[in-house]
Amino acid sequence: MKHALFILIFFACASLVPPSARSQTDNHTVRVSVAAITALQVSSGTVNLSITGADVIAGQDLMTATDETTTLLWGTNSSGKKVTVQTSLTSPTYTLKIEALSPTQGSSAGQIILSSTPRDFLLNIGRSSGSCTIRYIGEALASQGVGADAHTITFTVANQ
Amino acid sequence: MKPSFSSCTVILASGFLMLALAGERVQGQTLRILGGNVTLSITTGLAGAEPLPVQNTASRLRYRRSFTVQKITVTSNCPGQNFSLTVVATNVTAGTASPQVTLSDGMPPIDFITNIPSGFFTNATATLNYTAWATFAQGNSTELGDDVHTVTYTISAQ
Amino acid sequence: MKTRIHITPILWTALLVILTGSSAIAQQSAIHQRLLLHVPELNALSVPARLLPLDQSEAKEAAAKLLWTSNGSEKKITVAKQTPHPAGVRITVRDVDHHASEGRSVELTGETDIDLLYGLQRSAGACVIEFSLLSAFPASAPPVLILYTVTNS
Repeated sequence: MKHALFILIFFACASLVPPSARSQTDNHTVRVSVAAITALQVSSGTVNLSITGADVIAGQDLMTATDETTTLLWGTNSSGKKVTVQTSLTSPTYTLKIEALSPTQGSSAGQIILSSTPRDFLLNIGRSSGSCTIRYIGEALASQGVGADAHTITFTVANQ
Repeated sequence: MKPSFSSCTVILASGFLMLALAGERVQGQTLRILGGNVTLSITTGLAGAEPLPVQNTASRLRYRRSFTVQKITVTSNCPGQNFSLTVVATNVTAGTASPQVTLSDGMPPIDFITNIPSGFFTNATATLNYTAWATFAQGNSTELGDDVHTVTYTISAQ
Repeated sequence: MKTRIHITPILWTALLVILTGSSAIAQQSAIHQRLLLHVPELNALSVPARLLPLDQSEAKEAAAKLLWTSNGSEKKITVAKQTPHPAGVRITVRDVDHHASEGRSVELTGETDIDLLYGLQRSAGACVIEFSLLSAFPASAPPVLILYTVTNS
């Protein structure tokens, strides 16, 4: 009986130990760092654009074919950005035009003729994630004859 | 001479206090963060989607069970916060982890581990599982600076 | 209570991308796309007027415009009468674009291809073709069907 009483008193005393006697709080620093991230992707790495008989109008020199099967996707967490486009071909036989259709962010620079000099493709895409349809327009003149142009087209996120 | 009942009580209580205070020195604090400060770096993103979240489980929480049921709360201070940070306790050896807590500047204390059962000065641990994430629209540290959270954990009677 | 980390849809997307081996997570501010613009040999002919009236009694001629486009080399346009009808048709070419066959006149009496225009070279052009009957043509006779073909010279 006495022992039980001792134990009871022991625990009662323990509960009276002031909380301030122990360290109840601790802290540390958690740093979150976000790098400047830019990501670009095209839905397909290759596009085959062929001018067919359906694109030819008798009596007209100009023959035109259009492709809208691929999409450009981007993400950038930096402000003041745009997308430029250029081709690797310095002297293409035929004319190749490009246009950004329905961008989910920013604005299209409109239809442009591709050259080996970077041209604006999309404007004001800073700090966003989005996509647009890529429209290619191939133009050949009957007088330019038969042939093929192999382009490597480069899309680049650049400062605006 | 046989010691009286009251003498025994005083001796036992004193002994306990000495034990408790000695325990502080021997076992450290009641609540302690192990592993030091933490850095989470977001470096990768998906075109057409968002940057990939980053997790860190390098730090742990060690806490001492007491004679009463306790809980641990968490709060954060991060002036000028731009990005998102959450924490959840995993591998909890005593108590029940609360759902993931979003850490924001000036937040009130939020339950982190609850129902820590009473025990005789036994230590328990939990892994601090931090996840940092940001959208492209939230920007980057080069332009905005890092988020530096002072995350505070507090243990108290529940 | 079991604690569970809520993996966001973004994380699932990332996992999917990694598992499928896509290059989408590549961190790059430039990306390439290859495009092949292919222009095969293309030829097109058109005679906008589909039915021409020929009035033999008044010896009146009918005329139509013939248009062509060809990006091939050394091409010619031939004509043939497809209808097995005894009446022959004379076709005379005038107002030809470029340098081909001005004033050329051919007589279609059978179904054999006859050169109408030649020397076409990577060009688009047009000419007026005039029709006249070589002999009497019964009023009840079916229309004469004339076939134009672009072919190599």
